[in-house]
Amino acid sequence: MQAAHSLKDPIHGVEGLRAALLRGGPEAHPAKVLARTRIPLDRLSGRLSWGKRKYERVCLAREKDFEVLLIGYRPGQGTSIHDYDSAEAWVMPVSGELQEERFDLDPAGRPSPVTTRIIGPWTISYLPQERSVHRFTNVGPDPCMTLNIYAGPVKRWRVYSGYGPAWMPVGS
Amino acid sequence: MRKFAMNKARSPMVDRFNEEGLASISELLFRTAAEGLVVVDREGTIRLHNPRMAELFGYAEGELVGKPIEAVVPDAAMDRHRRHRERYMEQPAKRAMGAELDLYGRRKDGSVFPVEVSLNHFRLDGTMFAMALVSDATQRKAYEQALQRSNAELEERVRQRTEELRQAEQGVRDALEKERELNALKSRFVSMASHEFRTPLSTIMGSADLIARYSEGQEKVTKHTTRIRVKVRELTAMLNDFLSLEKLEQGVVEVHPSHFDVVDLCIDLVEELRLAVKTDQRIDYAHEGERAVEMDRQLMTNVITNLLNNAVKYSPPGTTITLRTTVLAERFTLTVADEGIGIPLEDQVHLFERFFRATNAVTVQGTGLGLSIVKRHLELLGGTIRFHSVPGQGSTFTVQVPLSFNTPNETQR
Repeated sequence: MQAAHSLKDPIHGVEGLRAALLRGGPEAHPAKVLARTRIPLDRLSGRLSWGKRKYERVCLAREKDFEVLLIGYRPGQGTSIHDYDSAEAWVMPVSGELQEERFDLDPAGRPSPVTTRIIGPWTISYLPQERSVHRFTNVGPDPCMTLNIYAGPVKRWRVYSGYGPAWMPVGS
Repeated sequence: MRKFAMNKARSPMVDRFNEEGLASISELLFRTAAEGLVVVDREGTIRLHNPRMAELFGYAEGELVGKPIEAVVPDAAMDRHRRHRERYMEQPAKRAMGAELDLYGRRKDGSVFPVEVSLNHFRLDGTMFAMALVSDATQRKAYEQALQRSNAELEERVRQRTEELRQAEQGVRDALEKERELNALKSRFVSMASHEFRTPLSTIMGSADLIARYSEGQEKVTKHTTRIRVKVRELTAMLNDFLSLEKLEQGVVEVHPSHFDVVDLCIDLVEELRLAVKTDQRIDYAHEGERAVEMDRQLMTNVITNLLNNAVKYSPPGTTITLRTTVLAERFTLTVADEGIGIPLEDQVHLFERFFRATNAVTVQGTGLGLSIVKRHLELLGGTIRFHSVPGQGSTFTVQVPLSFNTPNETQR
């Protein structure tokens, strides 16, 4: 007899992740869904090409109300200082260590750092719609993967020039 | 002087005059005619001539009467003339003398001059006479000779010009052939050099990456490795431009449409560009409409990258570069707007020419190939590019590509 699928059971696949987000109700909240997600790393890693040029974004699911991305960073690779303007986001590393920097914008629109922290596997970072200028960098010695859920597909992306000695992506 | 009777069949005009009046008119015509008139008998003896005839040949009035007609023929033509005259008397007819021949008369002083002669004959009291109207053809001959000289000169000039044109054409062919050979040589060199340069550049970039990582926290080292990386990127971009142009020139660029998410692509490209942005520059990207498109991803990547790179390069620090994409009604539209130096009005017409650099951009590094390549890549996609630019305020480039465009190599499939 097959056991009924509990709303608190771990999620082991991308399709399960998508289904959980589509289910609706309080248990479909992205933070709760991510907290249950335990997709084997080799299944996620196989979706990435791990290019030297820059970090890599792969769309796992896209619906009207959400978008799930898998992001891979080789050591030293990172995002720009950016925001999405229009979407809340939840970011959860599933392997490696990620440096998260958050910024405020001064009256001239220049980013100035507010917080910096290291987030490890299964730590969920929330980016609100407002004041969400940020940058992620893999500062660890190993590759890093994150699962990102955006409340609504990202249609806007604003890049700010870096401050200080920013990390550079590996390779040309 | 023997009087000759006029033809009995009179014209109505003649009827108006009485015999005496008619004789007076005949006499007047005879004496004042502009041509020489001479009458010879069957033996070729001159029986009558008018004053103009005497004048033409340098004789006194009436002096030629009784002389053989050969007296006014050049020595060289005398025998031939005699034979012709005798034949004429056998079968006389009204005709021009020496048709298509150059006729010459001989003056009393022996000088020779060209003449035109018309022959006729008549019978008087059963005896046949030949009558000739003689005019001096010196002037006409002079005109003809001048015309012939002119024609000859003209023909010579045409011949020379034709020869010059032939030589010029050969010169152009030779130059074209040389240019083809040079172009082929240049293409091989550029391809070889671009390929060969990229390998060491990649190594330089890799080493710069490693130095940057090993020297984390050492601000001066980071500054210089960053500089190395930025310059290597610029050099790589220039070599890529050369390679792209060579491929376009050789006609080997093919369109390979694929389905992709245009927002993902643009975010990737914007993220890649962050290394190049200047202090406090921002890139603001937004999209409207469907995200999924079917286009040649690589060609579109080249187009967007080129336009964004230009916007960053030609804009000062602290400005915003705006990238907008729209997919609407089977059409992909992209605009890249900057707050940069703009394009001088006089340069705008040349903007898509190869190797063209705007006069206010010569100090900024670049090959002048980027927009030319963009335009040609868009042509391959059936797309267009236009721009609006105000010097000192900025430029906006708008690209439109039909999403249902059948590329040539697609159609062949």
